Amino acid sequence: MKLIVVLFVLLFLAFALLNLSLSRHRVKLSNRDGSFGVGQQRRFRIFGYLLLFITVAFATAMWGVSLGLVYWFATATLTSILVVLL
Amino acid sequence: MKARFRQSMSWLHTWTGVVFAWMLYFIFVTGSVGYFENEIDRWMKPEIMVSKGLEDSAITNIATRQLSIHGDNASQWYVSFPTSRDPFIEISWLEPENAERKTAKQWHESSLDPVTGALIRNRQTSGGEALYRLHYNLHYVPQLVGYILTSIAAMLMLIGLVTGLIIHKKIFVEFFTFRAQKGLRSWLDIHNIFSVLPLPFHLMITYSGLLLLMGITMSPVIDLRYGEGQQNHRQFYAQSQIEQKSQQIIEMLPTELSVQAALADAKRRFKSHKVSYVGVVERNTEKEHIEIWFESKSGVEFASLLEYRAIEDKVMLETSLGKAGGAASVYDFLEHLHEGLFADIYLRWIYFLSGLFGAAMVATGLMIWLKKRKAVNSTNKILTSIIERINIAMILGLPIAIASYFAGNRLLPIDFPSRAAWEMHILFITLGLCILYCGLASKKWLWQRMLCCAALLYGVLPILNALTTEHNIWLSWINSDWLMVGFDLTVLFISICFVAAFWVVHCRQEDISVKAAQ
Repeated sequence: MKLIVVLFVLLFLAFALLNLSLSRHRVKLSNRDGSFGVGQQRRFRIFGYLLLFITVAFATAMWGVSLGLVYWFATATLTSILVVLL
Repeated sequence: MKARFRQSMSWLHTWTGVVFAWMLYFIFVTGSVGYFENEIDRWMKPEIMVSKGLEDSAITNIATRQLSIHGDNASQWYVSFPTSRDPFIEISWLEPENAERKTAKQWHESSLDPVTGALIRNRQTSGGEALYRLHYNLHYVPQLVGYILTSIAAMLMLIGLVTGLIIHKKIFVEFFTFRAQKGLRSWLDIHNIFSVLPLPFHLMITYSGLLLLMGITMSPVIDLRYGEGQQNHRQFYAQSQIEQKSQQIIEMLPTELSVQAALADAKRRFKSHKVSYVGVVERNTEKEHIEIWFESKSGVEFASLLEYRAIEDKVMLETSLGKAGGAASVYDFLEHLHEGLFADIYLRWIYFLSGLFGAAMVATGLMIWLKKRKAVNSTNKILTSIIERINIAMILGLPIAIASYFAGNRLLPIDFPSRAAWEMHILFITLGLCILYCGLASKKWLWQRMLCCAALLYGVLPILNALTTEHNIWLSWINSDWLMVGFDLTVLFISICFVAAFWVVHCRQEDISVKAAQ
């Protein structure tokens, strides 16, 4: 159960970062002048993808390859939908 | 060239989606509900008594005593131990055919009272199983037709998914995008969200679903090698599904071999595993042996099996190690992935939700198609209107029909003739009534009225449960009968979702009529 929570939080962060790195959503979430710098966006993207890789590694290490991937995809679906909704 | 390729894919996406859309929606919804087959079963058999804290050996004692009374001449015995998904003791036995009484061989099953050990007379019900089977047998059509139709639907779904991926130009850029209040654009965004985010699930479920019925759809291939007909095909299955087994002689005398002894031995060998059920198979023959099945959560492979049999003056233990053939293990893997029997409660809920997202994907796809069709002047208005009405009837009528299936379980008199079959008839009669109503009623309030009806029905289910049985939410909570509590709370939550949907639709309609008035 604890493992699922860790996976959930990390994936949520990853998708939130990726979301911030995409310009379309920026206006709603960004600081006052309405935009992040290009460099900042790139950092979000790099960290987002990095977190995605880390979570895959984490899940497969914890549950084994087959079950780990099932947990990863399941949690990815859930968290990405949450990111869209919020 | 590229543009034309996308266009043709777009055409393909539209038509593969639309042709079987209602059936796909039906398959997605009933299949998703099927992930909670056991939990639904528990709700539909309120007489079941939850068993807690009994030792496996004590359960075996109670169960074998009842089995020897009721199934003494049975050829197979099974005892199923309480698990988190089926928290009760159940026995089943296979009654052999009887030439005198002209009865065919038949399975009997009954749950047991954990305190007195007596059989519990459950009401006749189709239960969760029939509901789950709907998604590939479609109930009223012959089995073969059901299999073939669902296979075609799965094939079209797969084409729809792949072409959808091709025509979606900005899959990464619009990964999280939802633009509200933009008409068709918003619908497209929703459709994309429901398709792209659970895409791993959609691809897996469609592809494995297609594969699971391959024995039917690809039967000419089997014909070529093994010959036509069921008899010959059985040979194919027997050959391809051979289990790999390890055999060893254990320190036990054949006279000592009993269900209890085998259970104790198995538990000694695999201390961390929980036993899910035990069986005595081919009783009273030379091949009689005892099976111990483990509930294994260590991988996608969900159960492992130990077999004990007496051979002359020794006892042999066979351990199953999975399928021998490579193709069969791939098939097994995909089957387990599709059915999700290995899933814990967290994964099970995501399976369920992903299935519903699939249903939503189909439904929103249809809405988009209708909206586009209505925008074109040359289309046949009457036909579009009919499709639109049936569409509402299917999208909301199906959940309503499922709720009425549950209500039927509580409201039909206990001794009603062919009660189980009538529960299912109620489901389809309700669906038919919904279609009839949507076909005739004024279109203006149709969505709202159907949503109201759905909210009401799901809201009433826990009340019906409390009135007709002794299970109300409060009591179930105190007795820690979590499946009962879970079911009641879930349908209440579904009811609230329908109320919310009603609210959204209602406000939008008011907005539109205000705008129209200005």
